[in-house]
Formats: sequence, C-alpha cells, structure tokens
Amino acid sequence: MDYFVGLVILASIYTIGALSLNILQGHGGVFSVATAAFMGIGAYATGAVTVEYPALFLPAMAIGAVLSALLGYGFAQLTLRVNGDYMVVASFALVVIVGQTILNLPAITGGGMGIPGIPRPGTDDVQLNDNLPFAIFCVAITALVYLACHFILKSPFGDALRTLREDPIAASALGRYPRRFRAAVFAGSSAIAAISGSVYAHYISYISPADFTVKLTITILTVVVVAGTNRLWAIPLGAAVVIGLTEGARYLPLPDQIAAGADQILFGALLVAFALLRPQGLIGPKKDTRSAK
Amino acid sequence: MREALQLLVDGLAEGSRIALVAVGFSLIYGVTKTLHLAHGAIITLGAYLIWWTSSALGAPLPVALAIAAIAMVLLGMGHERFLYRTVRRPSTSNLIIVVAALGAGILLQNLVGVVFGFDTKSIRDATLGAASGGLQVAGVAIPFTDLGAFVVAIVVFGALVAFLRYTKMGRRIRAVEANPLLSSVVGVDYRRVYVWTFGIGSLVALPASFFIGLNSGLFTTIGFDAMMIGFVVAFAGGIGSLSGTFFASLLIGVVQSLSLLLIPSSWQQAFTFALMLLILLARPQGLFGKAA
Amino acid sequence: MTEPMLKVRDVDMLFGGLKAVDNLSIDIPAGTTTALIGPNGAGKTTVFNIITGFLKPQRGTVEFEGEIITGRRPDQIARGGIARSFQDLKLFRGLTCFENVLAATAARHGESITGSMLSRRAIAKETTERGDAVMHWLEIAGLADRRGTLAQDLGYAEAKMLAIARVLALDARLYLLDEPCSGLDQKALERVRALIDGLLEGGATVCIIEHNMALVRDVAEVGIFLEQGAFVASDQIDALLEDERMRERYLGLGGTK
Repeated sequence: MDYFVGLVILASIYTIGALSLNILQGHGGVFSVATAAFMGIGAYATGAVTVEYPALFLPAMAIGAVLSALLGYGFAQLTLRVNGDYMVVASFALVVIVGQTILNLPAITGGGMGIPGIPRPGTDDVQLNDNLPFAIFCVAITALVYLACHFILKSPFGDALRTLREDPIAASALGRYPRRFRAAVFAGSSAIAAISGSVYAHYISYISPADFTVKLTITILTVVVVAGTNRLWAIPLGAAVVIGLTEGARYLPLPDQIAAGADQILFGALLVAFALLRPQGLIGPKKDTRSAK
Repeated sequence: MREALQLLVDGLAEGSRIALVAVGFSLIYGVTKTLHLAHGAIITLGAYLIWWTSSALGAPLPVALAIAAIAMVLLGMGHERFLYRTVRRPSTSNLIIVVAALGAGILLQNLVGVVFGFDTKSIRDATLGAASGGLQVAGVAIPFTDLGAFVVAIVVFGALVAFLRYTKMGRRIRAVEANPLLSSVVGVDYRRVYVWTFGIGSLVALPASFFIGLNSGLFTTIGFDAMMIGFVVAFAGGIGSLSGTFFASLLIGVVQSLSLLLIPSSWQQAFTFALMLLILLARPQGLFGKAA
Repeated sequence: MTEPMLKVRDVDMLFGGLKAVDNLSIDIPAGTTTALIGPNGAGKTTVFNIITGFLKPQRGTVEFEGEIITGRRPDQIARGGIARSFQDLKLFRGLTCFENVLAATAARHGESITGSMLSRRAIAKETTERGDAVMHWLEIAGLADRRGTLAQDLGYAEAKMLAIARVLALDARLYLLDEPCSGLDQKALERVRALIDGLLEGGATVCIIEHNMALVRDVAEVGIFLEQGAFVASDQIDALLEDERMRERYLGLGGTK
C-alpha cells in the first residue's frame, strides 16, 4: 500500500512537470528542453529554505516558482528571434548553465554535495511524514496546478497562444504581440516546473545538481509524448502509463546488468516508438474544438 | 606565460576533440536539417567497440578502429534510413524528430551499457603502449594523445573538405545542402544523399570516439556529453559552414582552457555555454554562418 | 478635397542591393475602394508590408489618419484600425474556422495568464458576444456549417473565404486585401464583391491588390499603377485603364483602343 502511495506521489511530480512542458511545447509551440533547470530551481528553493525552516514549505515553493518565472521570462525575451531547433540548442545551454551555477553556490546549494535531509512539508504541529498524508498533499497541489492550466489554456490567452503557435505573422496582423505571449507562457511554464521540482525535493529528501540534467527533461518529455498534447487529462494518464511501465519492468526477471539501464531503455524505446507510430500520443486529436457549444 | 602556453596547448587538443564531434553533426544538420541527437550515442558505441575489440579480443588498434568505424557508419546510416526518414513526414513538426533522436540516443547509450557494462573502462593500456608519452617543448607538456587529436582533426577536416569538393557524392551532398528542390529537379536522389551524409558524418566522428575515450576513460555518457558541447558549438560556430564549425570548435576549446587564468575550473563549463549562448542570441546564424 | 486616409511619402525599400520600392508616394482616399495594380514584382505586396509594419523602409513615412505610423509594430497597427489579408492566406491551419475568425475579434478580458484565471465571469460573457460576432462573419462568408472544420481541411475557395471572413472580423477602418479573389469562381466573386460593398457602406475604406481587371473595374473607384517598385500613374479607375502606359506595359495592348 505504501508502495502504491509512493507511485501516486511520483505520478504527481511527473504530471506537474509534464503540464509545464505541455503548455510550453504543445500550446506555445516552443521547443525547450530546459524543464529540468526550472525543476532544479524549485527543488533547491524548497530544499534550502525548509532545511532551516520546515514550516515555510509553501513560501519556499512560491520563491522557487517566482525565481523560475523570472528566469523563464528573461530567457524568453532573450531568445525571441530563436526558433525551432535553435531553441533546443539554447535551452540545452540553459540547463547546463543553471546546473553549473547551482554547483558553484555551495553556501546556498551545498555545491556538489547537494542538500540532504529535506523534510516533508509540515508545521510544528503537523508533519506529513507518512506517505499517505504527503500523497494527499501532492495530489492537491497537482489538482490546483491542473485547474490553473485548464483555465489558462481554455481562455482567450490560450486561444491567442495557439494562434501564435500556428502562424506568428498572421497573429501579429490580428493585433497580438508575439513577444508578450511567448514571454508569458515561458514564465508560467517555468513556474509550474519549479512547483514540480519543489514536490520532488520533499519526496526524495536529498537533491544534488546531478538530478537536474537533460535526463530529467527526457523523463518528463516521455510523459508528454505518450500523453499527446491534445487533451489536458491525458497528461496524468501519460504519467501513470510511464510509471506503470517502469515499475512493471522492475518485476521482470532481468539480470542486474540490464536492470541498471532498464528505465532509460524504456524511456528511449517509448520515445522512438511513439515518434514512429503514434506522434499524436495515446489520446488522438480532437475533432471539434471550442466551437462545439 | 608558460602556464598560458600550456593552457593553449590543452585547449587546442580539447578543441580538436570537440571539432571531431561538431563537424560531423554540422554536416548532417546542414544537409538534412535533422537535429541528430543520437550522434553522441553512436560516438559512445564507437569508443566501446574500440575498447572491446582491443581489450577483450586483443585485436591490434587499426583493426579495432576499423570495426568501430564500420559500426558507426552503419548505425548513422541506419538512423536516417529507418528512423528519421519514417518520422519525417510533412505534417509532423520538427519536435517529433528531436523526440525520435533523443529517444534513439538514450536507447543506444543504455544498450551499450547493458552489453558492455556500466562501469568505467579504459582504452589507454590496450591501445597506446609506447605512444602514451609526450613531448616537452619550451616547458610545455604535449602528450602524444593531444598532439594526435590535433593532427588527426586537421587531417580529417581536410579530407572531408576534399571529399565534398572533388568526389561525385561530395558534390551531390553540397548541391542538396544548397538547394534541395533544385537538386531533385536535376535528378539527384536526395534520399540517398541523406543516407550518405549520415554515414560520412558518423565516420568523421570515429577519431572522436578514440581520442575522447583516451582522454576521459569510458563511461556510457561520454558521447552524449561530448555531443552536448559539440552541437552547441556547431550552431554557435555556424551551421552550413564546416570551416566555421571547425574553427569555432578550436576557438571554444582554447577559450574554455584559457578561461582558467581568470575563473575557477568549476565555472568553466558554465562560462563556455554562456558564451556560446550569447553568440547564438547576438548572431543567430552563428559566428561564421551566413545570415538567413 | 478631403485629406487622404493613408499617405505614403517618399518610401524606399531595399533588400540588400535590390530596390523593391523606389521613392514611392501614394494616397489612399477615404471611403472608397482603391485598386493597387501592376505586374508581378511591382512591389505591391511590399507596399502593404510597409504600411502594416512588417517591413521598415529605409526612407520615407506612412501616415494614417494624420498620424505617422512608420516604425510601429504590426500588432499595434492592426489594433490601430488597419486590417490586412495575405496573398498566401496564412490561416491558422490547425485551428477550426470558428477559432480562426475568433482570433480576429478583440478580447478585453482574459488575454493574460492572471486574467485567464481571475476574470472568469467577464471572460464567459465576452466569449458569448465574440462568438455571436464570429458566427455573423462565418454566415456572411458562407462557412457557417464549416465552423468546426480545421482550416487545413478546407477547399481552396473555402479557405479564401475564411481568410476574408477573418480579416473582416477585425472591424477596421482601412482594409488592405492582397489578391482576395485570385482563383475564385463567379459565385464566390459575387460574394466577395458584396462583402466589399458592405464594408464601404459601413464607412470603411478598402485597398485591394488584384490582377482580375474586370473585378477591378467593377469594385474600385480609384486605381494606382505601380511598376518595379515605382509609381507610374493614378486616376479614377476607368481613366486609368485607358492610360497608354498601363495598356502597353501591363495589359499588353498596343496603343489606345
């Protein structure tokens, strides 16, 4: 039972991260792999604050989200003329830069040693040390983030975002300033990724820079690719599928040598399989969109 | 002064290793517009094959290199023929190709680990023997492996340029890069050209497998790590200009090394990537690239 | 003589060494339809791009309703009362007809991240109003039953009508239409002509780029003839079509009839 609860927590982390990436890629049309960097910022904000002041877990999460939003906003402004593949390159560079910066600020981040002993959220009276209360906390956070994403994507902002994804020139000719929307969606997506990182920090309780590399983005990317970008509710489903497969693989009688790489092999295989066979994800495209009233 | 010279030499060697990765990547992207993020995994495989054939099978170095080269070329071509060509449909966005490339790379990299083991390995003993020493010039130490990397990088680059200029396939590759539509009109089969481009681009990376393996030892992420800096350099140097990529690689290697004079080594990577990012932002076509 | 609605003055546009627009000065009078005509490559679309802020001229100014608008961003100019359509349509291919036209209607609420989460009631109300406007334009364009169809699944004529519906929904004072009628059959042409008439009746001004001389004669009052980026002649449309230079260089007819 505890094991299953742990999976729910992991699914929450993946879902929030995937929501972040989905908003940016699927709706904003931005090919960024920098999700891991923003998750790292969120994780370290939570880690650095709650190790000293465990009761401040919500402000810590907020700090992480705000810092990420600012960095995301700034990065978006800088990379305005950068599109498509070039954005992949630039965001790659950002992950390295953020990771290295974390490594080089040992006073806050513990440098290469990382931050051990991150507590679960809780005040002096209540500590969510057991997995089940913490899982409920995670699910609640996930639900709030999901709801926020739903409102954002279904609103005029979401509509405008999708027109900019389709054709920025035409969208300009209709009175929308691409830069503003791009910066906004980057900021929002980064803040959400940071929240995912904060939950992650509480869960695994020990974080180091090595946790927040492109490898983490690939994990999140796998969830997004499996889910597809058409329906928001496919995201938690995608997270469940990916976790289900990786956990299921643990039960296969694999020799140690294979088991060491099993997770990554699974992610790689999933990415290749979906790219080849079902690029639209598990849940296919909608037939009728908002116009169906 | 001596310190600076030593750093310069080290930087040129590192730049040469980067160049051997970046040039192949730049050729592939420049011609096929594919962000071949599995390039690093192929480099890893090459290094591990060199290790396996020379250490486990005891084969002499030239044989090991030949076997690795064949495998890398076949894998590179295979990626294009079976993966990218299938994924590359008009309605699919570039993103899916990146997804496929990343997935293939992760898959290959970890299969290498599964087959050969995830522990760190060394190819120095098996392959170098007498050549593990070095020169001493004006108080500067130049290991033979570094010298070799520099010389080989120049030779390989020269050979690549000659190939592209003087052979029939080379000219076809340049034609497709310059104008895909027009080349198909005059009868160039762009699909065959693409496969060849991947093959050549992977072949050029064989020395990278060797020298990177020598330099840092073998672990399953060496190719990916090398590709990370290699592909950013390729873009920052200028996609579409192989000499631009080559010189940018050497330049970045030297700058990264010389930066030690000013900043602690832990900041080197951040500095280098920040520099390349700035170049890309200020000049999206890269240092030596042509404006769009 | 009333002030022209739009004044282009002494504009040069260079691409590298190529002079696409050469010392151009034209006026677009208010309340009528002006036709911008000339051979391919005459710079007509370039002029539209300059007026709407997509290109910045090396020299010269654009003045709209008495205000200099050169140097403004395209989105600012669009919100400022100038609507333009594109020769290659630039529809939002992955979105439905409804969503394409919806994009042209202004949203006062909810076009920011915070707004989208907080102003939900205002958004709902405004969305209903905007939706009614969208259906109005779709009906006029004959696309009411295609509201849920993706733009990329439309036929050629339907796509052109959608592009027109989208630009009309901008509710602008000046409409720049870039070859709105190319490739359309008689029935569709009638519809477009009726739409343009409707715009004028509503007090707007129209400028179209067209090659179909019959349509131009029918729809336009004033014509401006450009060639190789330079102004050649401008007149009431009937007079212009009789102009010798026009007839020789553009229509390929020798001398006067």
